[in-house]
Amino acid sequence: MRRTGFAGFAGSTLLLALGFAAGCDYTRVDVAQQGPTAACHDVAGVIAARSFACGAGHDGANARYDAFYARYRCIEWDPITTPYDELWHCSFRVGQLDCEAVEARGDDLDLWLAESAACPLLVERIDGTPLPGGIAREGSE
Amino acid sequence: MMRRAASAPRPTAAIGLAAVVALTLSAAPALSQEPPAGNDCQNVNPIAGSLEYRLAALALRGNAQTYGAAALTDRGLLSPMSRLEISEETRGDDEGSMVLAFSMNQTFGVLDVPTVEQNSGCPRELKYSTRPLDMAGMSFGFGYRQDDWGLFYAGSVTYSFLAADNGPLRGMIAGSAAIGASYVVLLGPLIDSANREAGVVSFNADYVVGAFYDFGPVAAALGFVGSQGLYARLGGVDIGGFVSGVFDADTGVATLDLELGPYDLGPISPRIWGTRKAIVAPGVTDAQGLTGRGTTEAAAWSVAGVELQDISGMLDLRFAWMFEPEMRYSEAIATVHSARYNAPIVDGKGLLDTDFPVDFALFGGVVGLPQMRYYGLEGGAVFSAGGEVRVGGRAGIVLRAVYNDPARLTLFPYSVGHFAIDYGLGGAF
Repeated sequence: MRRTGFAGFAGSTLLLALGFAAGCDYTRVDVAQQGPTAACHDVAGVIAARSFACGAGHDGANARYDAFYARYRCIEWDPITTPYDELWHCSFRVGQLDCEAVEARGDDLDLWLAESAACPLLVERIDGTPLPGGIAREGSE
Repeated sequence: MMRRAASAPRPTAAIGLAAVVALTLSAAPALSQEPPAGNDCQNVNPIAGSLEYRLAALALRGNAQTYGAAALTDRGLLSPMSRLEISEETRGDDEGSMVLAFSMNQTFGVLDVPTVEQNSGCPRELKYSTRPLDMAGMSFGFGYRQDDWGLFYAGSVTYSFLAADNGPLRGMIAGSAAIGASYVVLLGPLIDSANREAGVVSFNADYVVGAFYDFGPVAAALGFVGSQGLYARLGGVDIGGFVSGVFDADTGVATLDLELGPYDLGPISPRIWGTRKAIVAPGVTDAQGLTGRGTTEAAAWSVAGVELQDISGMLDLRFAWMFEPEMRYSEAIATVHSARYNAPIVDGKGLLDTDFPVDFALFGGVVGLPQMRYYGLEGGAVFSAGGEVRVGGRAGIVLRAVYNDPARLTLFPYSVGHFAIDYGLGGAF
């Protein structure tokens, strides 16, 4: 084995790898970085997961996740000054829905979010109006 | 957007009481609760309502299957046993051959699980955080072959826990757990009553015992797996490829693998492969924080690829395309390796190969992942790189370290950003 040949291949491989790395476009949802809205984003994921588990399929589950953000926006909570763990009750309850309940709710996301009193505290409609049980915030239309 | 002030309305007290009881696990691992000096924020419980918590249940069950005794039996025992040379001269000889196999697989950072701190001494701003889920599996087995028949036994211990957020402490825990596992790895039948799964914490001891017979063109094995029941394997040695299927009667999940080659075409040796497996949806978490088994085959994961081996004797290029659940590239990996890296196991001798060849490989590239919102994945490409050293060929001593291992990303797509270490040791004498 010629050493120059090996160095050439090693260099090519490294460049190839770096080139691929430069093209990486992946990001993972980071709960810690999301901070004040982590519990809200988690609800979107759990709705997608329950939809996926109950027959919505790969595309259907992803579409329901997108519909969540098309319809709602997350309310920021300060984890330092609020009992933030209580807000995860929304994910917990949504994740407990059996398939019959999931099918009954379908694409009606308001119904999904009626599952826990914590849900309207996490999201508001994209126009700023609160969900039933939610809080009208300063500046909301 | 406005940030909630301290005077903002709080969720109702009823929700709070239910949530505090239901959303946190009381069974967090004792090991992860050892506080380093000066830090009161090490007593964390995972938040059971979170998506990552539910995914952890999938991950630890996958870990038990992938790195358990049955897997070691397949690749570490029966494969070498079927390759042992039984010549006409040695047939009928009183001396049989022993095959040994050991495997240790560690995966760090499978998921980032949201946690809430239980220690009142922890500053409020550090109360909510994420902690990585670490998983490991250790298995050890041996087989005996006399002429055309053989016997085999393998034991395994697989486990998972929330890791400490302190690097050295995390490493110490992983090392201590591995040492502890080594003491009990063969005791599956005696300790499997201790198996448990409590949220993100799991312990699973398993074992396989069975017999083997070589019919010539094919070798058959029949055995019993502690966790699953009947175990059967039919394999050929000198066939230019294989098709294998595993059906889990309990979950109804089927996995199909196809491999052809490598074929020696002169300058390159192509190998073609394909795999299809079920994508399992997270299960429902009950009030006790236990997550159900999940829906089986909510969708399928199908990938096919080609690997061009030994280009100029030292370069492999591997490309794979995903057909389900999305059409997209799946892998583009380049490997630089020593000359004998791809040499097949010829006689099963492995570790005790007389010339103790040392082989190495360095690899890097990208792995493409589909958008899987139900797994918390936005989709896209992740960088993957690693290295491997072998002493004594494929069935000898193998050390492998990988960032974003493509094989693990296939098994656990949500494990982006993980670091994996595999140790293997085997041989026949």
